Amino acid sequence: MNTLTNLTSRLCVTASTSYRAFHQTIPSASSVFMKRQKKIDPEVAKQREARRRKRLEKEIRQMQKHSKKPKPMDEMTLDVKSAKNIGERRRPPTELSIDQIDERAVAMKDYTRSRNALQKLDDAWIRSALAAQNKALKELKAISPELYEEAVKPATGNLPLTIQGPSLTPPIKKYESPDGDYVDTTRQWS
Amino acid sequence: MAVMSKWDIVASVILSRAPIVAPQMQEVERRFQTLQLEEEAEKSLLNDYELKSKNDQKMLERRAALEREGKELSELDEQIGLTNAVREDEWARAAQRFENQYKFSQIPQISDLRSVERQMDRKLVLIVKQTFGQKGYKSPWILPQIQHRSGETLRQTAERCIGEVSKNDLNFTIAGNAPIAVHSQKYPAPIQKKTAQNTSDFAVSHEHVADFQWVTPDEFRSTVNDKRYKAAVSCALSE
Repeated sequence: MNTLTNLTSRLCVTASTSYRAFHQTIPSASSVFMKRQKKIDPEVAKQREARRRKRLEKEIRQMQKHSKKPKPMDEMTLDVKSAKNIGERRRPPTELSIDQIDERAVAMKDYTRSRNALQKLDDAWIRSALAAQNKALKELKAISPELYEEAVKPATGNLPLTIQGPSLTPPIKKYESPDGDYVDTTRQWS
Repeated sequence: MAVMSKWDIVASVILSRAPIVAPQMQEVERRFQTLQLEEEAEKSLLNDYELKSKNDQKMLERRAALEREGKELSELDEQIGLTNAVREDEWARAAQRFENQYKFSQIPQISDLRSVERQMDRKLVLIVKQTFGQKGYKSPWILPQIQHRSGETLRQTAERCIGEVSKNDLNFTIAGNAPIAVHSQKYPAPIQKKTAQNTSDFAVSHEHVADFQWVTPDEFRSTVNDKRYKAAVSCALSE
């Protein structure tokens, strides 16, 4: 970034140097302390200019490429410090007995079955709740169309719904939190 | 053309308190969790803390050996510094101190059926015995209900119902505008579901309510008598 601003600002200065200011440098050019300006071939000057332009363009391209860099995935990058002694970090291989392997497989099966049963219960509950509500709305429509119109309006006040908890332990009554500042150190990615 | 309906509309409210504390894991879940954690630990690499524990172990053995030979120990002691075992002891003591102060591990058991803080790991529903403005009359156990007034939406009726039932300002949210179920006896009773969020203290207005209880869905099924009534609201009582 810095190099580019430097370059552009230099460009700007040359562009905005007034004719008058340019003239003023002429007397000092004749000073003994100044290096004599070499006369350069216009062909070479053109070439240099083209080279400079190319370099600048490349730099801009590079910068655009890096500015689009997505949020890094920390869990996918290699932790260099820990990788250095990865040999020390390996655990001795565990030998499982047949019984242990069986136990794990059975526990996994049991768990999957229990989740499946829960899902079925949930599904049945949602279906029955929908049916009950539809029945209620149908009867309401028959009794009072106005109330029905009101009832089927979307209740946007409830959305988005956020539910917190339940926690593992009950809340502590009259808990006084320790004094201090809360500093959020989460890195921000634009 | 207004047709006078022969039905009266009554809004009834399921005022429920969500579980405050997560329920205990079932046996299947607990076994699965322990085995999964074991497997994960087996497949993982040692972390810095575990490396230090291993290192501590070696250092302590060296120290014991040097001590037997009767050599200078101060330099080694400096190298060892604070071992993980010492730190773990410290942490355990701190945890015990907190436990003694706040009693995390025991969920208070409240036997008072009127307390909104009983059965912290279950869903609770408010049931009442209403007077309906008649002296000496007590309805059977029902969900709080109130007659619909013309010009009101059902949601407004439900809000009024909660307002009449509870004395203090209750922090609650109503889910949706539509009734969630219907039960018709002599009067139909569309029901709005409400969820109480503030569980601090719940006081009942005695003008309308003769008695009240906070019950779990199971208790609801055993306390409320009317089978058709129970069936109508059963879908709102799932946990």
